[in-house]
Amino acid sequence: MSHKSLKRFWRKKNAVIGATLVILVCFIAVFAPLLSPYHYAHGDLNDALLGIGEDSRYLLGTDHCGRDMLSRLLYGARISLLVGIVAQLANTVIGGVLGIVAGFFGRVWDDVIMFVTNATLSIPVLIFALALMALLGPGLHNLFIALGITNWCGTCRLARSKTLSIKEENYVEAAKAIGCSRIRILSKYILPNAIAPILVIGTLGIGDAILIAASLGFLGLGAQPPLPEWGTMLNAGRNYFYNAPWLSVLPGIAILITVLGFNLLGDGLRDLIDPNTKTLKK
Amino acid sequence: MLVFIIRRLLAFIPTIIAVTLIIFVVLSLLPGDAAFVRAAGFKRGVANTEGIEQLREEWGLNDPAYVRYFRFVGGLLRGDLGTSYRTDEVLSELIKERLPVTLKLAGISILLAVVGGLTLGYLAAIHRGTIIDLVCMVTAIVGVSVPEFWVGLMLMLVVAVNWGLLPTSGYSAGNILFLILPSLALGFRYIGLIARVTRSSMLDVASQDYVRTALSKGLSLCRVRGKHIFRNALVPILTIVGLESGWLFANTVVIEEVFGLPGIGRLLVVSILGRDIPAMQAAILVMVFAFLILNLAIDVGYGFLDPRIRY
Repeated sequence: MSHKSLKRFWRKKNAVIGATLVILVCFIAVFAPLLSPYHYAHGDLNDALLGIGEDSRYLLGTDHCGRDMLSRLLYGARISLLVGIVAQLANTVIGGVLGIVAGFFGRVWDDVIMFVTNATLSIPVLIFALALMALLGPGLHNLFIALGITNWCGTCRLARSKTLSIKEENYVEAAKAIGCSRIRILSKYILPNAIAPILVIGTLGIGDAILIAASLGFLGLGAQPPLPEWGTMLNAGRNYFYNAPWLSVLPGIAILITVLGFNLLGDGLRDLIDPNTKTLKK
Repeated sequence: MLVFIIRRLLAFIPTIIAVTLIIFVVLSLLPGDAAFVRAAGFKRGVANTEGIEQLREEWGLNDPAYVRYFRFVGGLLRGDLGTSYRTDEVLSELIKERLPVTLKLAGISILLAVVGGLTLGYLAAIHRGTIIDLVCMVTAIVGVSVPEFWVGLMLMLVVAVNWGLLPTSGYSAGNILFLILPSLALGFRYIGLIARVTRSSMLDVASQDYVRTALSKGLSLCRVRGKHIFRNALVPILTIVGLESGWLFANTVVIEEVFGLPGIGRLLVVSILGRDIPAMQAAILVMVFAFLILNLAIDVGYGFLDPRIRY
């Protein structure tokens, strides 16, 4: 990134806050074993359901199995980040490739890909992911698959429209005139110019992926206990809702902070790339 | 105008066909023999295998895939959604019972979200750069980032438990009090989305030339805002309302689970956990249908709003 765009990035408050939050969550995820006082599965039933600040050993209280909430939240960052980033990466690659192919090669490819895309767009992502989890069975590894192949449509559409507009540019026409092979045009002209908005959608999509993973965990179809996935923790906390509400409040705050970070970052990136464009803000 | 509507309706049909195909293919790949699960009953470890072949014949599971697909589509066209594997109820009846709940929930959520979102976005746009703008936009982006089921649980905790104002869960037909908290939880994200797009759309329109002309003509600011800026800003807002309603319909699943509402979403979760394929198909189709119809209505609505969009 050029020096000028980096300066613009820092001036945008939402991008800075977003980047800070994302870096913070990534840091927590990477260093969770060092930061957590206990292992996430380690629980002492004698200490079950302690409140926040009740016992100096457990800063954020304990859950129904006596496990430290703080540790579980910190380890949970690993799962949510992993799921969000990997799933969104898969979606971005699938959607990006399909979109660029549809835009660049046109005609039959375009018609077929767009038809499939529009049909898949009609099925809300959560519902599609639910059906896939029913197909594959609950569990974290299936979550990656289900989330990774259901959210590519937005990226596909965007990649296609961007490819179409780049194709009309003078330099592409010039490249074709001097006999550049199609592969060369794709890799040297189309891809570098199309990648910026795709990355923005990708970043915003990480937040969505984390939300859907949490929703699936909440419904019991995502990561299974004792894994400290935030949605799963929220679900487990429902049984003790009236006596120990912090079991459900704390994971929600964790999800909020993480997704907020990615959304702010994506917003900032979008403003950075197209500050003057009258694009639809999500 | 009529031609426009007919064109939109015709484009609707291939999409529906493709969707039924996708759903059917995904669900028919489900592992496990539904007939075995049903025949074995709920007795642990005891498999009563006598009736399995009979059940398979009855449910038509032995036929090849394309036969089952056409039978499925044929049933759809006749309005017959099949019978549940789990409870043997006729699904069309089940859906008819549960649909009003979900529709009311979604409807109230959309209404709240549109009113709330438009207000927030409008205020933010007019008072751009001030603290009101900041508050509105912070609320909006928090709304987009927060998990709905958590909002639902928090609302339940604060309003229903601590203040005792509204019922916590369950549903009694005709009593709208049960739907207020769920609608708020469901619509919160939607409010954020609509507020953001309203603000940016209004700001875009406000920089147009015709607005400057209207102001220089001497029209009051209020009039210009209401008559020119807001009305012309509506098209992108409607687009977002349509596109993101998919997420809203999908999350009725989670919200109905949180608040114990007997709607289609709950049916979907229960049938997934019980491997009840016809019920899953029916529930998913209903939701997709609702989403498609809403977008169709919005497409047609464009034609009314902006005469330039009538092809």
